[in-house]
Amino acid sequence: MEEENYEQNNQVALKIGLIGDSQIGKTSLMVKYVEGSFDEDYIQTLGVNFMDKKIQIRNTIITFSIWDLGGQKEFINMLPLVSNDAVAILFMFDLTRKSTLNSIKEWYRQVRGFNKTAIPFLVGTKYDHFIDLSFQDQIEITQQAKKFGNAMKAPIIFCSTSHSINVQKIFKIILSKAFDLKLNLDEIINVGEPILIFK
Amino acid sequence: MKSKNELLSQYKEEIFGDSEGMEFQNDVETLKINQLNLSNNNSPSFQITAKQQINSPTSKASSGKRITKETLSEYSDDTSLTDFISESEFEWGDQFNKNQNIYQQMNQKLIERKRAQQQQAEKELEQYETMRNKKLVDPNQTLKLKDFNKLTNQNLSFLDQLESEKTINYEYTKDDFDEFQDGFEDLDKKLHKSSLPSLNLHKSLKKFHSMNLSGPKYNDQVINKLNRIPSFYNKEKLEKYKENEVQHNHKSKIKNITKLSSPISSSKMRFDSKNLRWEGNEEDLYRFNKPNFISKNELNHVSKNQNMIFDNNTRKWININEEEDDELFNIPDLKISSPPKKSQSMRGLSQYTQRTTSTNSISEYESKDDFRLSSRLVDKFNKEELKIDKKISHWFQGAIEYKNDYYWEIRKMVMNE
Repeated sequence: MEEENYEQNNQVALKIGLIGDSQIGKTSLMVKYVEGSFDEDYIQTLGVNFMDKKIQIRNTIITFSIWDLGGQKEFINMLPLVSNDAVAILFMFDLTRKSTLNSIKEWYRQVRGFNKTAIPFLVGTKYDHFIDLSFQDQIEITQQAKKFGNAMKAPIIFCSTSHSINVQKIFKIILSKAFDLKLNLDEIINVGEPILIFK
Repeated sequence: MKSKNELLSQYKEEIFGDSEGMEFQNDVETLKINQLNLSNNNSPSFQITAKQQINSPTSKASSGKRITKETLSEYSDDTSLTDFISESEFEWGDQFNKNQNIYQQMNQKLIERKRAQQQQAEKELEQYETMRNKKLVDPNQTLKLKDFNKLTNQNLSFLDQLESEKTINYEYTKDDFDEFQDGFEDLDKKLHKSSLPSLNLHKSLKKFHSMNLSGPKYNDQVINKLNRIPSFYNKEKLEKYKENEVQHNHKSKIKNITKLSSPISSSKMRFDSKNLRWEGNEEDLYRFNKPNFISKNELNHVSKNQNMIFDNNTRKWININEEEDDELFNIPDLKISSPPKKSQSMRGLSQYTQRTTSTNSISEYESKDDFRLSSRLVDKFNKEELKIDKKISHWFQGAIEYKNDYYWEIRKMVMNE
């Protein structure tokens, strides 16, 4: 009990869950944010990966505990490990594979079955490949993502891990949502640009 | 009627010229539209429409102009991927009392947030239940034939003795309580299989390669020219949004759990080990098919007018008594029959040019007059057809004669309507 009190008084930890189909870049995003590195090669996540990152703001140290669930179906029995107690869940999809956006509905249902208190985020990955798509595809995917984000009441962010676009911003928006802080950051809403809708 | 080249030249400035504020490096030769060989016969069928704003309203950061090097600084993210976040990025207000333990206050804030989320979820569930119950008394429910006495090994002989021609052993029942997937067990399995990739599918990730122009086949001048066109490889755009990064030179700190020591149980969710999915919480799928729920809290921020409320977020009026599906929120899946097409890189053409042309092929912007042909054109088609028919009629002896006059009849019928 005392230990619990001590933790309550001397640290803040935010558990973040990364969810989505396989090969969309969940682990890459986590490693990029925590270690600043990016590896083009794909290494399949077997089970659940997790990493901690401490950040300092206003002389306060906040620990992000990031949990990443292997996207393969065989690991879905471990979903509660990632979703339970999470403050925010990043529902992630690959901006160049429409099927991964379609899957979000199912991921959302299953995750929310375990945790309805987590703040949902809709995160599109591989923005650097997305801009190579035809503009018509870009419009279709962006509009669908906006509809999903609206239905989920979730901020929408398009990011590129390899090019360091909107990676850090995801975690800043998490902070602002978790602690009701206004974030001084402009939204990006135009098709073709790295979408950032969070207000 | 203007020719395509005329139309293109009309919009030339918008595509290439100074009007987009593009600032090229010195000695850069810009391709002009008249340098391109765009013949009417070979070019794809696209249509140039008037200057239209297809983008959504512009954000503060984006002035609505195309992104250029000049406006790049507006987007540049000067924060580095670091362990420190500047407090000026957030407005703290009176959120936290400096005289009290900050960690305690922050943890308190997290608990409050959690509570608010929980209340929101409960409210939404309540609204969902209310809507579902209303649906259940809908007079337009479907009826289906249901066996009164289902035959089993036990009752077979018994029923044989009792049944006569007048025996009624069926009734029409409402099927609204049945699960949609009832009777589709196999289908469900198949459908689910395709929704998530299986282990067999895992292959190494395809790496993106831009066009490889190196090698003796191409001369350096072409490569240099292409490289000087700012958006040719989208480099400019990617650079623009790049967050500065700091590489940490230490070993990866990834921790991993590969197996559960014991199965996780949940009061609400049930694990279907056969189909590898968690079952339950179907009500959360409802939000993808219905207008967003509006909580009491949110209602305070909307204007009311009898049964209609104005939602400030979506900027539209919603009838609170209406049960109709809202098409906007009735989100069908994206069709994935073919993978998204990469934009065709026309050598020497700026990315913006490609964008500009492709936007015009979007159906929602197509004019309704596309299929209205002038009588002169129709006559011309008729003549061409007769000419070709005449030319090829003796090519194949004994070939089946094609009668396609009815096409014209159909057209006439449609046009007369």
